Amino acid sequence: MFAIAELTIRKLKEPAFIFMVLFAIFLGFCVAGLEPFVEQDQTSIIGQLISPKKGYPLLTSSFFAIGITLVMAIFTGATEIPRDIDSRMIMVYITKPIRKVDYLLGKYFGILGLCVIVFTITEITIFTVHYINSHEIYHIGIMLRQFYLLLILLPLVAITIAISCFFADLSAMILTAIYIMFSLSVSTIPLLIAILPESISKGVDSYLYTLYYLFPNFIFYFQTFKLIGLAAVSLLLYSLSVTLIFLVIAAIRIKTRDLV
Amino acid sequence: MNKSTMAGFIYILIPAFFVYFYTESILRQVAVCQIRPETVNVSSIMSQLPGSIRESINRKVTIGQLKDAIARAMGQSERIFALCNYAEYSNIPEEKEKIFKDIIDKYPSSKEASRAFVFFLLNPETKHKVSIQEYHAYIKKFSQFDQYYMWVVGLSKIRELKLEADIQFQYLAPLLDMKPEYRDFSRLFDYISELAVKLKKDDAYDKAKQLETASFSCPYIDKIIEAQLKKEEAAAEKEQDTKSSGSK
Repeated sequence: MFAIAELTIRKLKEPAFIFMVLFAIFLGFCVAGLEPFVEQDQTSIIGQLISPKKGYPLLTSSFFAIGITLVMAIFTGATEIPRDIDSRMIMVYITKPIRKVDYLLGKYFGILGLCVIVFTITEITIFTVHYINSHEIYHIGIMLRQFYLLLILLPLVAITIAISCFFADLSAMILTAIYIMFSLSVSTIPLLIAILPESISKGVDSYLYTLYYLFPNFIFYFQTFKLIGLAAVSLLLYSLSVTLIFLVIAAIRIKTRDLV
Repeated sequence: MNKSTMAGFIYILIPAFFVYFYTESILRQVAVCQIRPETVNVSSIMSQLPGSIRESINRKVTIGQLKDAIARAMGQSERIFALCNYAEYSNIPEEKEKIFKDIIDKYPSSKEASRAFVFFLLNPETKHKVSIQEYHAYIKKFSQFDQYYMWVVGLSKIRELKLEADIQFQYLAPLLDMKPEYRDFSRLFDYISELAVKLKKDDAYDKAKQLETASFSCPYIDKIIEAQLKKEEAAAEKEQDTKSSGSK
């Protein structure tokens, strides 16, 4: 498993990934000076959701950092397994002693590692540029809060890998992007139900929640919470549970799929 | 895939789903608590929708809010108030008429029902109608303090219907037998005198002018309400002071 993960992380040496990392650094440099999202829009629902009343807020620049990481997660996650199957490299990997599940987990941790590296590099660039510009270091709490965004990668990479086990690379990429966009829209359902009059939401809320539970709620990752608390622990467990569900789906598919 | 592998996956999935639903509910509550639904201005969200659907959604949301207000109403007067709000907003004539009729039937002696009475007052478009005499009988159940608003909205309705001066005079005539207690009534007496000139009713004109002059020595309703509010505020402040000194 770790050998597969290591092999995946080694792709960082490829020109495309080097270009991606350079782009991430450039992006971090460009967006480092943006004021926190909360100060830009305090009246909207999202503004209220990430208001810093009970914890450290997200920086606007971190939205860009996680954005570029998500793009990379989708591109890499959706192509790794289909390409291995197409090129028959998978047949080399899954000979003893590597099992199919180990191969899958190796790919998962490898892609996750790549994403963590890109996100960390972008964030470090953001913090460094902020320090150079203002001669002030962000509070440690704020910096740690930005890294909590890494939790979003756990389910996201698992989703991408699960979809890539069913479809070819390009289809998997498109379907993952659609699924994530749909998830973001569906994530607003509980908030809408809460703000709409009961007489409107009462009849349809069960149908809406059925639809809602088919998608992970990515909005949870952007809300403000205490770094150590019930919300933070719940978010970690939530991410792990969604990850497990999608990895099991991927494992069932890869176990039953004809790889030849 | 063999049975033991499948069982292994099931053993992983069951707790995973349990944790998923449990943690999701916690995180959902955190999110909902943070947006404070009661403070979210729904119309500001609606304004971001495309114009073609904004109106219909806005209408549905407003109707939903009005229905919620009826369901949440505490006490009779709040319920009648919420029902009247809903009936006035409804664009279904039959529904509007039914709600107002129910209010009149169930709460004929409530001052909050005045909007229902005014709705039916000489209304040519509704099956049920309230005559001027019936409206007078309703108004007379209340003190002059509450009556003033009822007289004014009734007159507005009659003027809105563009009814003749003699009907307007017939409507306001009982005021000539009333001793005014509030200065606000002077406007109504002034209007009666205008109608009396039009209808060449000299006696009525003299009486209206006399009552108008008499009402000038009375206080305004607004001033009385203002004084009452000040009194309540002072009492509340005093109570708070007593509590805080007691706790010290």
